[in-house]
Amino acid sequence: MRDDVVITGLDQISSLGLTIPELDDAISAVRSGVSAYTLDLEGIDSAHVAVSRVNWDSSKSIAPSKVPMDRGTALALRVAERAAAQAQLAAEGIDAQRLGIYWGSGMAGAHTFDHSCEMLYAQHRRLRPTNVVTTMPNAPAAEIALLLQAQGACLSFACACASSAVAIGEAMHAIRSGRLDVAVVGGSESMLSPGVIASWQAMRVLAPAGETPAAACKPFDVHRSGFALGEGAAALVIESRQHALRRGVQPLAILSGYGTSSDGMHITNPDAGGQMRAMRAALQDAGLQPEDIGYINAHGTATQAGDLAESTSIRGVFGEHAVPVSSTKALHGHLLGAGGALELIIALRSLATHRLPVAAHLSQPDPRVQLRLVSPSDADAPQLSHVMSNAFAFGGTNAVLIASACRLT
Amino acid sequence: MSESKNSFDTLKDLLINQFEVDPKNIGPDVAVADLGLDSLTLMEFIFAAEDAFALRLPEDKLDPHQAGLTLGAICQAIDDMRAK
Repeated sequence: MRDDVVITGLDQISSLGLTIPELDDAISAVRSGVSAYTLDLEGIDSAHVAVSRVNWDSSKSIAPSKVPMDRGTALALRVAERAAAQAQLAAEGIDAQRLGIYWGSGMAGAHTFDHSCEMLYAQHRRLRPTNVVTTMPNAPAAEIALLLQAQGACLSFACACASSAVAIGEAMHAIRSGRLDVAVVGGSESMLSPGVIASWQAMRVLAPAGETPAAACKPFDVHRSGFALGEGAAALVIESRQHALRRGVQPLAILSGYGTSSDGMHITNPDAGGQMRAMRAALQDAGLQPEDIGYINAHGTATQAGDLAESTSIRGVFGEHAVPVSSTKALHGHLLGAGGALELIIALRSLATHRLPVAAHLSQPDPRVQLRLVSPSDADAPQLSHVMSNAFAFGGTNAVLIASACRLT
Repeated sequence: MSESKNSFDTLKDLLINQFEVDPKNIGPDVAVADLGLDSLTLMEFIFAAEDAFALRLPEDKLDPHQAGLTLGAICQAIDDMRAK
């Protein structure tokens, strides 16, 4: 029988809080971390858009390499260090050569790269000797590996919004195959610099801040207007159950399934067929039936194309099983590469608290969305055993993760 | 930043606060190659030193790999430029 891959540590930093308890409180209270940002750059239309900012000063953080850090890397290091501490990775019994780092980021280094372009082209100032190593996409994974002195595979995944979900799933398979004992997995993103926000605004996918910026992102609602660009990071420690038992570390949950697929259809338009293939692959990987899933944390970006495709794909896989669904992007914004990891953690917390995240900012559900969106009266889930987290990316990469409550064995 | 502070103290502060060099290893006669910094970090240190005084050291004065280049020699180069 296959040994389970279990989760033994986790942490997050987002606009919803700097710790897991703060995240729990915000989700439980349906408290949004979204705020307004005014994009005001010479030569382009000014815009007042919704963003999701982390209330944490990263400027004092020092990298293990001593190289200046991108804000995204600083966020990554904070969560990786705290998740590793929870999982007691510094204790004896860890073979460094079998400790891997699998990390996802869609635009790693973008914050610093944007700033360096401004320095070079607008201020006509020279760039730091370390600019390349600060902005390279694998900087977060590399700094985490330095921090933990990890000598197994150190891999970075860039699949836009699916980056960290793919990182987590691929690490799970590396552990199952026996290539690693344990891995620090997750993702990070820091996109709230003017050039990056302007790039997203040029696509017209950012929600206008409006009169109530905190409620600007409305997944599955007829009044949806796009997403709140966000920042943050989330990390988990995963290992084989036997490895955790040998070390005397208590599993928090089981990472039970992963499925990935490519739409192969369009660079941005989502395809329900590709999403269904990923969800079915994850169910098969977990050895579960659709009826076993008690909650889906939807990708739910609050774009019309995204909401409708996901409604179709969930219905296609789950049929008449009215699985509860919500998109917590309404509260924490779109963290791009970090989103899959943060949303998996939110789904995991619902396994622990037996309470589902409510579908926030839903005043008038889109009638074309045929989903059981979680209402406050539908949020208690005492029997919850298996949860699913969807991540569907620009570029057509779909990644679906399933986590399960620990069974007594 | 350092109008009222001599160049050595400024460099010393940089090394301690930004590059985590042990203060007891810092002195005018210490070769920069012996500060325990790798080549990339040495370049960052020279960069930070130039920024601190808003000047550019001549290439022939700042090669950190140059045998025996000491903190004192860098301070002298900085002082010479500031005197101009």
